[in-house]
Amino acid sequence: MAQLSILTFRPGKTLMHRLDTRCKLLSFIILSLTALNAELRGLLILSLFTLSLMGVSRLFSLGLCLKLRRLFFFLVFVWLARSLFTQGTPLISVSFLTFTWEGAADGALICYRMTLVVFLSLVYTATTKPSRTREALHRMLRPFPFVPGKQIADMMGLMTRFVPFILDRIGETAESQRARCVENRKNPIYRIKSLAVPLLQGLFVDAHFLSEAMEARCYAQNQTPVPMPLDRTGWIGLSAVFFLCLLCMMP
Amino acid sequence: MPEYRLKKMVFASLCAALTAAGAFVAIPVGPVPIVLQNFFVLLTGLLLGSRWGTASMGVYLAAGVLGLPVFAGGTGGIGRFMGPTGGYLIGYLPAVFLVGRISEMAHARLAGDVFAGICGSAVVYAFGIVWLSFITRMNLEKALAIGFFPFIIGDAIKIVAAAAAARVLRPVVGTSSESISSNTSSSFP
Repeated sequence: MAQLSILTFRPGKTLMHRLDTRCKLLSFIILSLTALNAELRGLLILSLFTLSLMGVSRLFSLGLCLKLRRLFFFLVFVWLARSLFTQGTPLISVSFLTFTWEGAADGALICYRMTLVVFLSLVYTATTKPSRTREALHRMLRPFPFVPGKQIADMMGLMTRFVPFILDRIGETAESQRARCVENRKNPIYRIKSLAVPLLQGLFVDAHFLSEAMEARCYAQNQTPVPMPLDRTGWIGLSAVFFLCLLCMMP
Repeated sequence: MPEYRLKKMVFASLCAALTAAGAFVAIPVGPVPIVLQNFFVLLTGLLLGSRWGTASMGVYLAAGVLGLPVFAGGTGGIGRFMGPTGGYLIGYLPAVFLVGRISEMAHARLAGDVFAGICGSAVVYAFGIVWLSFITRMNLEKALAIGFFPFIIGDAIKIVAAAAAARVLRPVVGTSSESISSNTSSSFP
């Protein structure tokens, strides 16, 4: 998983790594919502803040920029589509396609907002362990009636554990099928079937054994929670984010 | 916690993880990439039914909202919902519910599973195309040309594959531990 994705936890001892997960999670949601609604002035303030967060978390690297090229592809498409399909003052006309000034400006603003949200996600996931996110989510959902907060948090924890396991199992199963010379068969359906069926069956069997193991260890949803004291730094950080977002949204 | 509920919870988490893993394999053919997510969404509905299928997709989408790298190309964050593919992601929830409901009513017959897959895919595309059209300001014809027509053949294959996979996996998902143990030797690589 770590090889495939840029949005993974990176161990460290920075201020962002030490900050309370609940405050970070709430701050991230508030900042993302602000980024999606703010105008240019607000976005500039948020950009400076996000860049400083990345600096504090030591996330700047050339490799990171290279790995974000897929995002660039999406952004270019959104910008082009907005520029070409929005009515307004023509900037360039080629055949039946008209590139409008209003569309280009609107598209650039949307792309800017999306980029900011992606960088905010990057800061959060790179500085927070998935297990801490699970615990924080459980605590945040606890006050809501009829919402199975513990179950949602546990399912999310299991999901994040399963993903690298699945990717490993794909590699193992592919190797074992190669050892049986399945790749020499000309029928592509047979080859796919011989990979997918044992892989999926094996995964569900493993999941079944996991549920039995959890039951054997008396898994319950009223376990003693992991201590997660909320310190002063967390409150200060959350308050600062709240006031920053208010400042960004001011006309 | 009852054994049945715990087992379903673990299977729902596995299905959410499979959907996330399916999103890593993204082939960019345009603004909407070809991904295996849709296959796993249909498979989740067919295997887990409407209730646990919806729970599984709810957890998957919540993980994405929180910024975990579970969407196409290993990305995450609330911004993906505001992007051109946001409608497809939101469409997974009603789609998996519908697939599960139809499959439950059809008592897991093959024809019922295929029909459920068609309905589920239709729901995903209905949400996806309307959102794509809205976010990019394309008219509906252009949104269909970019966000639906290139995927018809691929989705037909995914529907048939999901129905076939569900038939193979239902004995594993629904049986006792004795029959699981007897299946283990043949299913492990």
